[in-house]
Amino acid sequence: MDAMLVTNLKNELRRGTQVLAVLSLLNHSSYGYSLLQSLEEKGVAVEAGTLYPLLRRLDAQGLLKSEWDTSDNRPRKYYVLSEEGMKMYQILKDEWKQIVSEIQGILEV
Amino acid sequence: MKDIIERYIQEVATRLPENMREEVKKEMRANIEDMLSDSPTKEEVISILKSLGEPRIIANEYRETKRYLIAPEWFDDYLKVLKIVLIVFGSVALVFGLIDALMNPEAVGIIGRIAEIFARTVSGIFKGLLSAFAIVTLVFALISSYGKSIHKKPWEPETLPPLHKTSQERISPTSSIAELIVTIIFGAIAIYVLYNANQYLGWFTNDGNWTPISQLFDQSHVLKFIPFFIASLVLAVVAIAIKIKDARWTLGVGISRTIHQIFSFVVVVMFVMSPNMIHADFIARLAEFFDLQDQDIAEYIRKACIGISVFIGLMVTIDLVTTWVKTTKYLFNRIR
Repeated sequence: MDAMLVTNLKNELRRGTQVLAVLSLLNHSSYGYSLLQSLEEKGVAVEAGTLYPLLRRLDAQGLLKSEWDTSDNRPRKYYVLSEEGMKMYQILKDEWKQIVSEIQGILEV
Repeated sequence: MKDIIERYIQEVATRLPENMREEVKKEMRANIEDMLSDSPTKEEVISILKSLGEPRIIANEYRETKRYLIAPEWFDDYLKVLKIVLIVFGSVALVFGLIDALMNPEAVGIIGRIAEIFARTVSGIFKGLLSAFAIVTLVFALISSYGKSIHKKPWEPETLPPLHKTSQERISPTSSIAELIVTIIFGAIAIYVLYNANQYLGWFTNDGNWTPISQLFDQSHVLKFIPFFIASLVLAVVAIAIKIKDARWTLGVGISRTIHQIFSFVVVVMFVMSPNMIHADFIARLAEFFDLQDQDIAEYIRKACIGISVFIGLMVTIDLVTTWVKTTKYLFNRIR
């Protein structure tokens, strides 16, 4: 089978779930690398090169709030869900459950 | 060590819009530092940067919107139009390049002349193709970026073109493109010759060189008609372009063709029939040559011009009748 096609389709399938995974972990404010580690601990594979830009985009879309913490000697940008982001998280979570039950129904036949 | 990280960040940042550049740089610096141990080795840095991926790709991730020169949904139309325009521009450039190279030679000797004609024609074609490519791409890039905001009407399946009942119903694009090329070439040559009628048309003597001794037309009179000839050529091109686009005898094709034919007919007849069009000198030369009176010659010319007008009128009528027969047939089939 075409390895390229496999990678493309797998990535396509995963893409939307990454947003959901990130939103789920941002109830508490967290910075880029710590988030990457948390995701890794939970066994969710997100590339660093995907995660950091994704955080920024979600921030720009108003789903996250961000703040620089410069108290430490290395500055870090902390992200946390905004009001809007919390709502979106609920919506996407419900959608995810819906998708799982729908697809499950098909796959088990 | 720091150096390679900064080089990486710079490569990403230069690909981003100005307003987000500084912020992204700061973010990336913080993220990369977090990923490194306290005293990182070169190998470690390299592997971290590799895990982040190519600058071009990560920069694209940072962008909020995807960017295209030609939007994917326009790409097919872009290629189709590009193909036609390149063929037309290429052929027109070929003919004019050849004419120009043949008429204004600079090189000496046969081999020099041949090389010159060849080089000038090729460079002319190249320039023509390049500008055609640039214009089409620019137009489609504009459509891609502004088309969405202008084209607000929702798409309706009713507006789909009907099925072609027979293959004869379809106007072959090849013949339309050929028509376009021939129209542009001959139209432009005709306008060029008329514009310079005082050099090309007249009574010539051959004393080793062809020298005009009397012009055929009254040049100031001809010049007044030039804008109308150009308008007529433009109308012709528009009519053929619509024909290529619709590829069927639609109402648009019928109407544009009718407008072009009637406009051109009126312009040509007015040109041919206008008094004082033929230069008095020329009439005098003819009269002398045929041993006739000036007014007799003028009368013959007038009759010939009427003949020409009637002939052109006949041609236009035949063309319009066939056009509208085909158009009505097409429209009738469509209603059924």
